[in-house]
Amino acid sequence: MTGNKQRHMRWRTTLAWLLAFCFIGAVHASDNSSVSRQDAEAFFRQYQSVLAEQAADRLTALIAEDAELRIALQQADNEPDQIFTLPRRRFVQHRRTLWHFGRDVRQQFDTPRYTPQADGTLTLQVTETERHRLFGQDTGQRNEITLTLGRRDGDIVILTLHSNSRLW
Amino acid sequence: MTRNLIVASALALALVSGSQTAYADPARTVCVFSLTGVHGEPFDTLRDFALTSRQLGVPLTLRPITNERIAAEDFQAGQCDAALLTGMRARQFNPFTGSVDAIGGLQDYDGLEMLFNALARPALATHMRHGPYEVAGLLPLGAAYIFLNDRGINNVSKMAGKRLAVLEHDPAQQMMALRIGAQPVSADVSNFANRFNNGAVDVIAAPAAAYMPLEIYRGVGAHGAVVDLPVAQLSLQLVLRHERFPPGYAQQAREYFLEQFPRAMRLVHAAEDDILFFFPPPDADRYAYDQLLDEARIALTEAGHYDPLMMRLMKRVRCTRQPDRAECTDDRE
Repeated sequence: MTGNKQRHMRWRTTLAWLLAFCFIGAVHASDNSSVSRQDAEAFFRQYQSVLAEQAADRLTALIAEDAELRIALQQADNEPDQIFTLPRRRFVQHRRTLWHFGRDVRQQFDTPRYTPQADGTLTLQVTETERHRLFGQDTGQRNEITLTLGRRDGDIVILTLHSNSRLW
Repeated sequence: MTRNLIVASALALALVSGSQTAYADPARTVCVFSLTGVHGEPFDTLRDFALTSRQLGVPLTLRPITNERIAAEDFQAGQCDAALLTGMRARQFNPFTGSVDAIGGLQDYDGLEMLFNALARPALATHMRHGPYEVAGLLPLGAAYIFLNDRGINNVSKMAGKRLAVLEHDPAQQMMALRIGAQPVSADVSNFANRFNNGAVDVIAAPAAAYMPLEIYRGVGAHGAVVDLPVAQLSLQLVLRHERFPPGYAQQAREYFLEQFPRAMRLVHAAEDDILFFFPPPDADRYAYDQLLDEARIALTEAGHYDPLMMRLMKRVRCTRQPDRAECTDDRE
């Protein structure tokens, strides 16, 4: 192989490696900003733990401060659902005060469904049945929840929470 | 010589006794309405103020009274030189400041702080006096919220026929109840919560500060709700018989109480954070609720329950903060 050919080969090899590194770097970068199913599963386990341990501060940390938290509350007598938008602090307050006033508070979740989104977020759908004893009565609520998980400063947080809820 | 000495001694004695009188001002009695007596707020704030008042040359004797009606009556009868009362109760002594607690007046605490700042300015001092009385301080008690024993009462039309506790000394509440079709049930501060908790009424309006001490969560129960929409901004007001206090004292006191606003608000926020089933009105109904409160406030002012100048002041606060409000281009207040 002549000297020119050797230099050309070295140049092409170097370029190939550079391109390979760039590709790997890009993949790595997109992994850091997107939420994988594995990430979401770990997040959901954490979410369940936080509720089971009644840890209000940790629950707050799992929700973006500007998260859109919308509850559609089913009404009696075939009335249309009432839709409420709650700020994060009131959403957490509902859980926290229930833990304070309620007894035997427990949640049960069915198997979640995970759907990656094109923008790197991930949608998690799950049904929660929450039961407790409150002021001498056995009551509870059923929530059909859709969470949108995304990253903020590297951490996975809830960006939106929509719940179709029925209280009894 | 002896006569001169006697005269000089007498003069010296007079001078000393006179100066002692200036420093030994008799204590003024303050009837302090406090549901919890000497424990907690607002008595703690008044106790701290008493230290400042002593430095201003006016010692205070604080007399806690758990029944607000008695506190107001004792004050009116001259048994107290001053009284700490709710704004609604203080309205009889000063209609201007007593209208701070107007239904639908201000819906957020930043607006309330703006109003309190204005009321503490010397420019409004003449309005703080009404006859023999002068308001020497205001403290936020927190917004009044609607407490329901049934979350099925999920819009205004469902209030029709529901029993709503109204404070007997506030005719504006009676008028409001009739306006929304509810059945007014007369109560006072000492018994309204009990009536709600034992089911004698279905709906009450109360500040969060009453939620835990009066166990209002029992009345809400497992199936009620608390509407996260301020119906009115409640206040505590220190009312003096101004001729019993030195000139300038009331203005100094107003400035002192203004400095206590953040302290009082910390307690308000902490109390609100304790409320279970604290839901805002449904998104679709929010505007309708705002309109209802606005129309009620205007009607109650026209009926003579609220001071028109205070309503104009509040409107100025609302429109300074939210210039795009529809009312800011009309002249209804």
